[in-house]
Amino acid sequence: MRPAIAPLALLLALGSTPALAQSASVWGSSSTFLRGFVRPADSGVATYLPFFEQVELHGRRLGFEGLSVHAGLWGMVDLVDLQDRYRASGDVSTLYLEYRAPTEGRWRALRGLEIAGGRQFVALGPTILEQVDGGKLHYVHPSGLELGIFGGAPTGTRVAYQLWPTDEDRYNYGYSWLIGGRLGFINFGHMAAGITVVHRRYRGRVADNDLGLDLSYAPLSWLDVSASAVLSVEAMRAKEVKGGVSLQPLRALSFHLGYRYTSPDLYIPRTSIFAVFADSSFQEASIDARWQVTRALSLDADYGRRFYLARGGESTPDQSDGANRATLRATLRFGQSRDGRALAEVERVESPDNAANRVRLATSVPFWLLSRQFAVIADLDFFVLDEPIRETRTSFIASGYLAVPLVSSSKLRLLAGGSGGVTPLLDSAGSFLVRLVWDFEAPVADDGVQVQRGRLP
Amino acid sequence: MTRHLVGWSRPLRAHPRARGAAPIVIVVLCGVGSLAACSVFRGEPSRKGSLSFSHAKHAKEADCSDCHAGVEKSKGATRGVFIAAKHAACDKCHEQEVKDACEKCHRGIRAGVHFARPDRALRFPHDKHAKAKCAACHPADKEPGGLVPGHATCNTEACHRAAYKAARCEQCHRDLQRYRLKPVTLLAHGPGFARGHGTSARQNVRACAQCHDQTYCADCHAARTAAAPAAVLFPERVDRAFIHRGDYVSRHQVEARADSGTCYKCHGQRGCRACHALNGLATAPDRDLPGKVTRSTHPAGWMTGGSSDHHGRKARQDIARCASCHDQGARSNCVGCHRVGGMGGKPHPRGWDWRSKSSACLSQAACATCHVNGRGCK
Repeated sequence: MRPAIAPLALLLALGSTPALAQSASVWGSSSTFLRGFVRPADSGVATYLPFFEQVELHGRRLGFEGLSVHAGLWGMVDLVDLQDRYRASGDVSTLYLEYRAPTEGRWRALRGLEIAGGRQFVALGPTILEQVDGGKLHYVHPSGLELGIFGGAPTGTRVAYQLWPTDEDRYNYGYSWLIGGRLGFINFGHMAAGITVVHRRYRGRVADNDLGLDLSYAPLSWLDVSASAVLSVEAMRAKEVKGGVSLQPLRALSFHLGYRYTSPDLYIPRTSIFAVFADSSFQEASIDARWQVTRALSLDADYGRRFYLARGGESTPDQSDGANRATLRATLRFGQSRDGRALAEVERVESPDNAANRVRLATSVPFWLLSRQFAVIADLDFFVLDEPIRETRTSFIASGYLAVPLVSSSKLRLLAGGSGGVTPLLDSAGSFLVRLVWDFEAPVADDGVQVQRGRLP
Repeated sequence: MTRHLVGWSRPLRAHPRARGAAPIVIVVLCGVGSLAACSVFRGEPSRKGSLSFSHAKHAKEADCSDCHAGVEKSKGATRGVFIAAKHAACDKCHEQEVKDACEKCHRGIRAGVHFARPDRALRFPHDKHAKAKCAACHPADKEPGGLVPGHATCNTEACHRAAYKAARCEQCHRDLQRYRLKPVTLLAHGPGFARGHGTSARQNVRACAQCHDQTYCADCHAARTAAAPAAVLFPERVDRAFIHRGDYVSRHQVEARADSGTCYKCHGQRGCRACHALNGLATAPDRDLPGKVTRSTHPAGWMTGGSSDHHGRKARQDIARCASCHDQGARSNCVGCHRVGGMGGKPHPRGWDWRSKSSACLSQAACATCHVNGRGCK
């Protein structure tokens, strides 16, 4: 397909979704966005005005039990011709065909088998979460034994024009690929363990050749432990080790104790000269707690301390001291169906040479008017830096939106609002967003159950 | 003017007419939106009706099959003639009301029973359950909540408790995406779940898929193919742990330095460079941003030996930070200066045993920058 035609083809595909929605077992949503915002730029401030359409589409039982299709795609044009450049973009975030063997019927002997092909995420074992254009086969035997195989080309290029084009965005499909597999055991909800291998090549050269081990075990309803490790076979070293214990001593109280060691490959090609000099490594010990005070109110707290082991091949006193992160959060859920939210959050994140202290207050308040559910959304985000950026330490952004259902069934919803404030990088930051969401669905199937709600007169 | 278009893998020059395509694209987008809106307004009426109907009252005077004839042969929850309770069925007893007194049954939308959209993802063959009496599962006196059986009805020892305990949800539910369920044990969304959910997800993808399909994952994880950050797309979800909230652009240098590996999992150094180059914080390739004036992010003393801001010291402290801009091949990385005989001296660190690296020297592009065709390797 010629790249110049690609965006139009994509948009035509978006336009055809309402027609597709008329067939059976199809549902999804179509969202139209008009957004305006500013960003710091070399000339001071850059203005963006993107207008985009995003479609999410799901189809099940498309003539064959167990077969489904899932897609998420979008197309965009920037209405401000910043830097005198044409700005249009679009992409397919997800598009895959999936077959799950049914548990009954003629093909029940295959139950436990899943096959998926297309643009999708592959996530098997601790080693990888990768968006690929490829395939995946996963089989779980009734005994709990599982086998997974995946492979494909990592997703790298948009199908249309790039918003921010650079050399590196042109992914070389011909020589960049990955393949992997997992052998494991699952006792659903109580135990999972496995061994995973992944081999990844970037432009023809080995980028990752990893072995992953993982174990999760819940011996009691209030206790579970988990551990995982990723080993680089090529370098014969541990890239990441994680361990955790989750406890729920009381129904309303739960904890998670965690440990993490990370020594990543810098996520740059191994051919880089930087790989000669150093790895960036640290350990982290953390504790998370949640107190469900009432059914509506919950309090969360987490704390983690990082110990930087080495940067650049040598430990320096300021970095070996480590850094902290901590968060306190209160969440209140309210409203007729508990879809209202109020949230207060305090956070501190330290890095080796700076830190941010952040406070956030946010709420989404539903209310009924003319038999329709409206919502008001407000979000205040404030932080103070220890070390200034451009002689400024503070940032404050206030946002407000109104969500309006355009028809009584809430299938067509409009959300409009904006934000404003001051930031270290901009004297005054502002943005607006108008979003129209349409949830579509195929005609009612004849084998569902009717869920009743409301009250009898 | 030079522009940079990207197809699947080939760089192309924009055709001069491409600029004229903008209005077409906008018109098509508007058309799509308009079609969507029109489809809604001219579509079938909402199924969310309101009906004044008491099962408890009717159950005393009629059998279930009087209205729901053939339910015992139905292969599904509502398949076939199960929903026969339309005007024809009511006519038997309420002929006059059907003709003249609609308000007897059809009330205002806020007053009646709301029939929400059906859950088509449920497997329930009525024919296989026909041995039981209707009231065993549908106690009319518990309307409205109890009329549709819940887990307590299905998951008795004699029926489906074993499957329920083993979490074999697929026996009854084709998927669970429409329910607000809370997972248990290993899958519980407890404290710290947002930060550590990757481990659970990678171990047990199928369990996640009971409630979430991959478009949900893509909201946050499709960094290379997303239209905008999730915090922008879904401002109403104030409680979700989206990373890029508020003034993240100013805050990102703190979080990126605290745990750079986490950023790179989605963005790679490509994302850093693209944005920094666009904003004048890094050198841009000529053909990408022609004539662009860039400013240096490096502090004074960057090239002064002994300075606390000397680039050698900073590079050893945090090489990942350098790599966000400078890993664009031999022309942009250290070996331009740091080569044997160059002004920066040799690049090999202390203790570098080059004699034992002959195989790597031959195959690694970084080595080959200086050691052409293995020259100097042993």
